[in-house]
Amino acid sequence: MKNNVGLGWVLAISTLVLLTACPLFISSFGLYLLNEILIYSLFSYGFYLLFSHGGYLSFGQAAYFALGAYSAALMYKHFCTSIWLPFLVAIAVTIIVSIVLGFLSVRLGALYFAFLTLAFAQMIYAIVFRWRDFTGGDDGIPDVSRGIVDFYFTKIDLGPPVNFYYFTLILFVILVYIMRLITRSSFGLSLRSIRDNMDRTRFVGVNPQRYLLIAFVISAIYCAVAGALHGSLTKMAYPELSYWSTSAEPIIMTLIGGIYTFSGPFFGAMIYILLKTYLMTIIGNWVLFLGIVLLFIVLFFRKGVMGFIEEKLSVKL
Amino acid sequence: MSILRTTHLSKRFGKFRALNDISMEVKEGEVRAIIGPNGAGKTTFFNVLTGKLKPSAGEVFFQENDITGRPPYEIVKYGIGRSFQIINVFAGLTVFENIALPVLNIYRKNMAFFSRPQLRDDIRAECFSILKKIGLENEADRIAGKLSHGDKKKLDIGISIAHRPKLLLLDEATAGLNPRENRNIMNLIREIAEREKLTIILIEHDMDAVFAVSNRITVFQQGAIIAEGRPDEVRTNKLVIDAYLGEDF
Repeated sequence: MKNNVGLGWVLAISTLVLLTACPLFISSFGLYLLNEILIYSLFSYGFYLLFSHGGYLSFGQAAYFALGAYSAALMYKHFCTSIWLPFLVAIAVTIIVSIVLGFLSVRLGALYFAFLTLAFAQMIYAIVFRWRDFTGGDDGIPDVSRGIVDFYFTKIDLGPPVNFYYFTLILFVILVYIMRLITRSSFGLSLRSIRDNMDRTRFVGVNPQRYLLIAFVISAIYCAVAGALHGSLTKMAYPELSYWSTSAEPIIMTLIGGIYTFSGPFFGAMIYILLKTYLMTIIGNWVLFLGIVLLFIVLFFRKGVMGFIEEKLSVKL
Repeated sequence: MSILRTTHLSKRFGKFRALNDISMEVKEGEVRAIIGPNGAGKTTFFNVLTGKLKPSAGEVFFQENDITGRPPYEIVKYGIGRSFQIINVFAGLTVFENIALPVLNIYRKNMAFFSRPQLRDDIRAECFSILKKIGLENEADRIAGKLSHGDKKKLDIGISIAHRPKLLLLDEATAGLNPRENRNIMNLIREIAEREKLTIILIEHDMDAVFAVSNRITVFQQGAIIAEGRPDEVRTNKLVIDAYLGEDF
């Protein structure tokens, strides 16, 4: 692996250059898809931290995806056009909710964690669905703004798709870089020790519940930022954002990309969204096809697409 | 001065009394062996001392601090380390990372979000000094699960001494090893004890090892202490011979 360390950087930088240059030659539909891919990969990175490093599979990260989308949408709707406050409120609400629900979820081990996160997410779905006066019920919140970046003297309207795409890309680069730092840090190592051998982790002075809770909150923030961006991109916040099938999406994306590969969530999201979009127009029953793809991955490419490439080239991606 | 003291320590599982009224004192610098037949409560005793299990009654004092029923991650910070009867390492992490985890704990850096343990000179140096002690400095980048059985045992001990404990509990450190590896581990333990001025309590079935390294022996039977004393006293104790050692010894 040592000879090829540089290859990971080459991949990262060439991907970044490509993502930056894309708006110059891509169709408007293509740009929309690419924007969606960036948003869903942020969502997947949230899932990835908890599952791939902490060993805890959350089946309810959609709760925070929706929380981010609704908080930002309501702020845009009622209070302001600038992006700062909606994002801050979305993150603050998410931190508070995820501390409470995370505290209750991480106490009983990985299996109960999956059940509890699912249960809490479904509760949030029920609240969003029923609380018509506040959330708009099953109609959701239409005409969500994309906001304006006002930074000292400059004002950039994020309404045009290209502007919003670059805004998403900047957030994406910053957050993925932070995730990279976190996963390679001492905290990341402590988290992996929990995944590897929780019993022994306690005897090296690490309180697993505390570390998992912190990872849970970080994960929720990533999901909420992705949700807030998703609300602006689609100009809608709707109850299905918190439904369990939405929670399944980052799981499937991460599985396709590779659960133990850092670039897995990004390429997984890309493959998933491209397959979904183009296959739906060719074969109507896309879900059946998805099932076959997943079966194939679990049976033959357990490390996912990027994990498979990693192994073949013996390089860290 | 006593480093560890238990008073009337008991642990019940339903009606079964795994530990029954254990009052024991270990002095600083001692190498204490705990012997006794299977099921005598030796490992349960360790589990209660290190917080893996909560006692049903009684107290544990470490350097006169009451640590009864505290969770393991707190007890570790008082300065008690332990190794396990069945190998208990982080099999999916590298050898270096296995040692880095407890070392980070000394520097209070487990929670550092943005710094890599590999890149900090002080942490790296400390890890390699431990790896050198246990003779695994050339295996630092190997995945722990791929080490030989003997090396895993060494790593297990390395993890338990890396957070600089004052008291080390070793649960059958030589179980499942061949005679040569067995001798290596015993020498390693003796070296570490002398160099670090560690107090050690060890559970051991290998009587040669027990009589070679320990300066006091406590004998457990059915969750209670039936004898305690210097090796030569225990060796000739009638109760101990009947319960455990047998006539041949």
